[in-house]
Amino acid sequence: MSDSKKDMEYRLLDLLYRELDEDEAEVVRRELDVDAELKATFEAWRQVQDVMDELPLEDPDPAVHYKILRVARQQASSAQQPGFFERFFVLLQNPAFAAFGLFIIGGAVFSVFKDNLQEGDGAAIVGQIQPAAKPAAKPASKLRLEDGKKAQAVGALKRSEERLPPQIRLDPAPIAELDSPAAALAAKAEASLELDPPNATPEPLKQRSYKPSSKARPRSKKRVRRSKQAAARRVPQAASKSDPFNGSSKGGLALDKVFDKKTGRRNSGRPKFAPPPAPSAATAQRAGSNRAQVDPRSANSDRLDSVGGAEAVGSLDVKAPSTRGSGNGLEQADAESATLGRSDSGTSLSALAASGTQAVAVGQFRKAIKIWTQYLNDGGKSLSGAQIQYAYFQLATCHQSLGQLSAARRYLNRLSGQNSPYAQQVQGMLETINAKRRASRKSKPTRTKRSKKASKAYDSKR
Amino acid sequence: MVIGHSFDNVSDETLIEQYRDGDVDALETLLKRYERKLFNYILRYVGQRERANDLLQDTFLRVVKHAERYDRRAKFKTWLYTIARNICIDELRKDRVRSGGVSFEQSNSRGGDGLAAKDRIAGSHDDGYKAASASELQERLISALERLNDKQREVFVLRHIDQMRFREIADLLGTSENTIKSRMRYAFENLRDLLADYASEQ
Repeated sequence: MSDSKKDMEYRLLDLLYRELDEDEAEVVRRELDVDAELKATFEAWRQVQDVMDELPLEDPDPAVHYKILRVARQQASSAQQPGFFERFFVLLQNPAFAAFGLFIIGGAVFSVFKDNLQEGDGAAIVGQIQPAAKPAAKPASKLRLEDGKKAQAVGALKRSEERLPPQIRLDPAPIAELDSPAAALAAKAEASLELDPPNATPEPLKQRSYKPSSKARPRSKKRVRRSKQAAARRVPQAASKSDPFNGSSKGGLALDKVFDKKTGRRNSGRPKFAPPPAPSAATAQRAGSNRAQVDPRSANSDRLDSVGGAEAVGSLDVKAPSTRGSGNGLEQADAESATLGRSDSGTSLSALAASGTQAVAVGQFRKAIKIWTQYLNDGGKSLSGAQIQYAYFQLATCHQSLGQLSAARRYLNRLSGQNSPYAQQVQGMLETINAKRRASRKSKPTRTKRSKKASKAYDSKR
Repeated sequence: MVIGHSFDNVSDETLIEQYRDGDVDALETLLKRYERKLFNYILRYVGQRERANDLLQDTFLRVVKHAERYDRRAKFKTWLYTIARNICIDELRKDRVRSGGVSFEQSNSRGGDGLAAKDRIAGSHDDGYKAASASELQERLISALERLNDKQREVFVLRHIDQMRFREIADLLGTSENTIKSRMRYAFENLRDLLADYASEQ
């Protein structure tokens, strides 16, 4: 069959099934008129087509129709149910959930940076007196130039000082004191002079902006507590050898508390129970010389005494036990709280101490416990040993008054050291607690005794 | 946007997209449009009514399941018939394995289930002369159709019963339009021979 004939037959099929437009169909019809054989083929096919139109179209089972629709509905409903992520994003758009999420994130961030922020506050507080402390550091650098070995030691101290929290970094005088007591005395006197010059207008506060180190690991509460305990174990040895309140006037700690003398490394914790010794001759002389140099008219001499030395706290410690149950507890509390809080910055600590002492005085022991606990927490490293001891004593008193003997005993055991100013009172309180415990044990027969009695009675009956 | 679920003038492609968006009524419209034609196509392919029902159901269930995969650039009708055809081919392949290598043509010539063509015609009840002559005619037509080879019969069914254009059939079967027309031409020639006496009576 020639290609032209094939093509013509294909066009006949198109004509048969009306797939040609009108013009093309007309052309094919004209061809059919001319070609008789082609026309015969076309007629035969049309007859077959007509016959095949009689071919019945059968209907499917109606059940198939409904089954398909049922499955389609199930599929559509399951497809419309949102997936996990879609539901999560819908939940995120809920304002309550968003607020809750923000709260959680904020809480997490705060807990991570809480300790570092506290150090930052300390830095801000210390920033007030930092300019006055700077000139005092000069002797240390001079010493480094004079003697090689001493310079190395001082250099190590300086380097470790740079790593210290700002509130401990203040006092350069003890660095010099290690090397030359005379130079240290001079430096202290100079620092005291600059700390509170007579008739000087106070400089505006310079707050050091706190930048948490990206390398520094955020310290957990547990880690901080452990480091404090470790430091507390290390410090009393050093504290007993030196005046623990040397640096307290500036909110700092004594150098031998801060550094381990053997290793030259920083003691990270606060001294736990530095005993408040009687002011030494050197301290008295220092204070006297300060007073003489600073203000011959002694305008600020009283303040210098209370702020700069440990004498004020020491005297407070002696008075402290008498606050409980005393008639003029409120006045006494005001007087004590003035020295309990940090005089330079800790107005909130002072307020806490005042309210704590007041609460004890009026017999609100539960409130007092909360306040003194907060006092210890807020004070942190900035509290001196005497301040901590006083707080512990208050807590012990409160717990004992509430009948919480084990808690009271826990605090009293911490205060039962030889150098504690509360030693006698603590001893008395401990004896009272032990006597109460013994009495309570005797009054209650133990369960085993009763059960033995019961078993004996049962045996005798049998 | 289709208002009031009047899908008469809506294209197949729009309907399947609407079903993808969760409108089951759109699928029902598609089902109504194609279930009868597709059933006859499948019936002519496998030759058994029950099996054709099952395969029709499988075809539409596959459409429901894979509606997400439908690409609008392709015609829905072509996609639907491709699914049906593949299902039929798989079924016949399984049948061939089960029957120990009996070919499709052999099984088809026997009617698959061993019934005569008359018995497979819907509504074939012997209620009077007219019905008998009608059923006789239908039997002959079906018999003639079954005698065509697979390719010719397939093209003839798609064109004559399912009203697909030659171009669409070529797309469906993946061959040229001229090849389809050639098969159609042979189908016509064979049917003319098979139905010569009846056609001459007409």
